[in-house]
Amino acid sequence: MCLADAEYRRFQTLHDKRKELVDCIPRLRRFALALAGNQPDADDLVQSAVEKALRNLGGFQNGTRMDSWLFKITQNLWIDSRRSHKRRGGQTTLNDAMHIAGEDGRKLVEERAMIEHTRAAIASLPEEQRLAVAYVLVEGQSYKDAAHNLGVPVGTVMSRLSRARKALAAQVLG
Amino acid sequence: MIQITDEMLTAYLDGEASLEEKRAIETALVSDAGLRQTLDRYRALKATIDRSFAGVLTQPVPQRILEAASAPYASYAAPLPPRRPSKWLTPAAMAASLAVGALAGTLLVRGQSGDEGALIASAPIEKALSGQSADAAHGAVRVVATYRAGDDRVCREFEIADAAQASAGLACLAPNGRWSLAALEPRAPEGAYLPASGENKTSVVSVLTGEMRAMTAEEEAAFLVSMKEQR
Repeated sequence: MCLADAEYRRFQTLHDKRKELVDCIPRLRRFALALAGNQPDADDLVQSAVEKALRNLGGFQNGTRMDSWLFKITQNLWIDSRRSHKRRGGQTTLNDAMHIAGEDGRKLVEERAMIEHTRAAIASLPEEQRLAVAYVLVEGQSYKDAAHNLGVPVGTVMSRLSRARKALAAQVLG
Repeated sequence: MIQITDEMLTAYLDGEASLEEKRAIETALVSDAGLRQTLDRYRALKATIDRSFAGVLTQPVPQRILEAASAPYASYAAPLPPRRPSKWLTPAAMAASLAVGALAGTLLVRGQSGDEGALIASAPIEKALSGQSADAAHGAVRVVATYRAGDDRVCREFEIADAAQASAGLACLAPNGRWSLAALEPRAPEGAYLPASGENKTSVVSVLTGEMRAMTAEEEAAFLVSMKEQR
């Protein structure tokens, strides 16, 4: 069980921690997808994050949240990878995604295009807004938890979300 | 009357607005059609985002991620570069990092090619681990404790007394009935000064066994009986 609420658990052994970590993987994939914008890059990120988390499992503190801890590892890996190599093949831009959606659109239902379009719109946001969206709008984390992991005040998370909402509404809803 | 800002609206939608802000927004909504429209758009946006990311939660997790999450104990106990499984604990790298030198050479046997290069315990360790009589020839190997690992495998921690360099190790019983080594490391003599810094000074064996459940004396005895029966 990957706890999303405020119930903090205590683990007896590393094995218990690993079990919880595995249970968190689906949510980690969702979080990474919001950051990376496409599933293959998201899964690269998740794989690296899982490997890093396992190497540091002994350092995970009982009574803290496994999901937040994993998000933070993923967040840092994502930021590092963007700094070190400006994305192989370039990042997915909104135009690319619409082009893909246009080709697929003939055989796929509208829903699929809408999903691609929404993910691409998030992927086109500035890095800091994308992180705020991933934490709060996609993962449903509190402003406080997001602010803690991002190392910024709660008010900053709020203003980033406010700007992101405006941009996303324009792109997604027209 | 509070001025309704974009940020307040955002906080309201995310359930983060204060009571005062909430009241102000709800009062304004009654008379402000523009605000109602903005709020509706943001609600529609949130619903679209939810739908766009719901699918991934129920999709099967890719095999490569599951494999990363179930890496053998030794693979993540050692600080290793990410995503290069082929470089993880090759027998040569493991033996080299152990600093047990010639001792390791005589005690370890490389596994068959089908064993993915696993280190297999040599005959003296194998005999000690399997509970066969520890005569003088195997006297240097002493089993310390027996564990049940998370995946139900049985692992045994052992010590090798050696004049030059004592060692501690952990071996787990593979499905093929051989003991494969999860870790082997030099053990400092008792009372020796150990620098307290550096992660690589951590005992790999203790990290690994920390994740396992130690067997009681009865369980251990029953396990040894079952080992004997299989032979």
